[in-house]
Amino acid sequence: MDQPKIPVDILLAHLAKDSEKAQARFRKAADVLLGPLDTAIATTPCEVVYEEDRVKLKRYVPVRERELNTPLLVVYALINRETMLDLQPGRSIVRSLLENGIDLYMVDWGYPTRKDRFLTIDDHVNGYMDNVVDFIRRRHKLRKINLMGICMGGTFSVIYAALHPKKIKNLITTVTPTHFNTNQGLLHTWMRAMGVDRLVETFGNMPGDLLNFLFLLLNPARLMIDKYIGLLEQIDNKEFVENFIRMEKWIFDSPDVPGETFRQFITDCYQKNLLIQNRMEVGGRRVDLGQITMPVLNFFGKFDHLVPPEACNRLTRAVGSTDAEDICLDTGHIGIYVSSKCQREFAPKIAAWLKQRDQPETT
Amino acid sequence: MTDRKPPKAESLEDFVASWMKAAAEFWGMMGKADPASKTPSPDTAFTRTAGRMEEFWASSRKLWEASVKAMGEPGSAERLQRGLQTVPDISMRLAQKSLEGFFEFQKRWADHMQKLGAPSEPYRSSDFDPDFLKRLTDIYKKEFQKFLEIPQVGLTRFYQERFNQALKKWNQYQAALTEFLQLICLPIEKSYRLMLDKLAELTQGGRFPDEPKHYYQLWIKTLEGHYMTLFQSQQYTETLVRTIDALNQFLAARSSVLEDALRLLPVCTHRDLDDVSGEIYQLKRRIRALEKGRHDPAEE
Repeated sequence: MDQPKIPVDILLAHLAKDSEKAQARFRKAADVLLGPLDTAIATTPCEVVYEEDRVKLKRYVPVRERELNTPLLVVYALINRETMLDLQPGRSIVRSLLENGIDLYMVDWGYPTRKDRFLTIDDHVNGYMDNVVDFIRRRHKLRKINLMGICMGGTFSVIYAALHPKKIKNLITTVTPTHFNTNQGLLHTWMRAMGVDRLVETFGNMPGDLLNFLFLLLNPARLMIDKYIGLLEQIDNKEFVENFIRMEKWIFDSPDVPGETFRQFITDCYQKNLLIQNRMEVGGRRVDLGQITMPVLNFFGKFDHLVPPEACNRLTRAVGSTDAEDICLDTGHIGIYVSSKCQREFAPKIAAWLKQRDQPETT
Repeated sequence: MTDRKPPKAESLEDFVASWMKAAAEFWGMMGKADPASKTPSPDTAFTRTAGRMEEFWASSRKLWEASVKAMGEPGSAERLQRGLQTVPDISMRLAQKSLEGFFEFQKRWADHMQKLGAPSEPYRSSDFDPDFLKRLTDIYKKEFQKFLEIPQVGLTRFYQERFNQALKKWNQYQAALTEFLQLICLPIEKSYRLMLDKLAELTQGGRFPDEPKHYYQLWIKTLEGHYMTLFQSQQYTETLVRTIDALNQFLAARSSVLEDALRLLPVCTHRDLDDVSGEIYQLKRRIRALEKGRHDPAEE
């Protein structure tokens, strides 16, 4: 039998060509990396209108005349930062919402320190969130405002809407886990096995870096190797490098999660799956999703490996609202907010949906 | 003939007796060398101190003499000999266990290395030898860890115990981490092997890719597949949880040792701060509840 012939000559020729290309690329890369780079994130102008402990409420400066009477409050997760919604001018959900005439507020959870380890979900939902909602209601002389939650912030928003339904006009949830007993996402499998009590006892707060490490482990081939190979291939492309650095800045800006909040979130949600069964208790009150009678718009990503569709799509069936809609986008967990395609669909859809449900309700 | 002792015991007793005699002479000389014992002096602070020193030397001498007397009794030297023999016994046992552990490690390692060249099935992590590191960990636990668990005595027993505990937890964490790292590196090893198989297959079919980038794409896709398979396995979840738990236990043990050290310095420990934070937290909650009237219907 003949030995198969490997085209060594062709391979070597390609390697030589690639090597020349790489040399030229790295020569240009030096100019890019040593020159001025615009890698700032969260640059949309805003002012801090309310502060409590580490928590701040930001109000974004409108860019056009307001088209909605009811302001929108966005609540981000305690994991990572809300700057993801405002990564860069061309990829900013914040800007898109402002351009759609929405009066926009956003909660900045800040960076919890050791003293915050005792803060529970109750403190975040019935404490900080409720104070922020009341502040906006008073400021605009409104009985109700619109609420939008992202990921864990969405879960908080669901809990809040169930406990304070009279203060929320419309509820929007994006990549929000409410049903945790699923094997679709690795995170769900791992969190169910985690000894959370001991973690909290040792660390106090759950270190953001440890959580980030776990997220990287979800797909090390892509997140720890391929991503950086991609950067090397485009290292001479200034715009690509700038965007890449912006994303890196966001990903690794990971505040610690207050210990008791983390403990309750993992135990009650990931391990016991109490929320979707209307059995979760927050601040001594049972969270009954049937109390969510306001309109609900629920976004999730078809290819989301952190919060898979199965973790999100039961909400609309569990709430008491007759106006509840699911929207599944062809993207992943982060893609909803940063991909060009979703940028065109996501914010305009929210604006249009809210406009249809914007009858004024003054106090 | 009948009352003759064996030469070895006789020489030991001789040695002990002459050593005792020399030591007694030394203590006697030390006592006499004390100037306070020679000349009577007026009652001053210095002479009182010197008097206490003399009493101390006298007591030490008496104690020593009593010890010498006891040692001089028949059988004492043999008991001493037995006592001394236990030291090399312990050393020998330690060395023996170390060697046994090392040979076991070497054997398991050799077994493991042999498997590296074996053909691999795609997208399976089944040829990971879970027993390999488990055996090593068992060896550590059974043969070495117990030395760190020897009960401590005396005033510093708790400090020593906490230090030993930290050392023990560090070793356990290292074992867990090694197991985890071995598992997490497995897909890389397997993807390389699979790549070789795939390339051979492509070459056989005359479809060998010209572009070097294609090889990378092929490899990264294979690697991703292996990782996905690994991550979905029960074994991986258990190893991950065990590693995090071991890290956790080590950090907790280390904190205890650090807290012991920090108590010597004028700084607060985490525990102190947590106590204060906890109290402030409770106070703030009460104040907020009073200020807000959470269930006030007017607010709703």
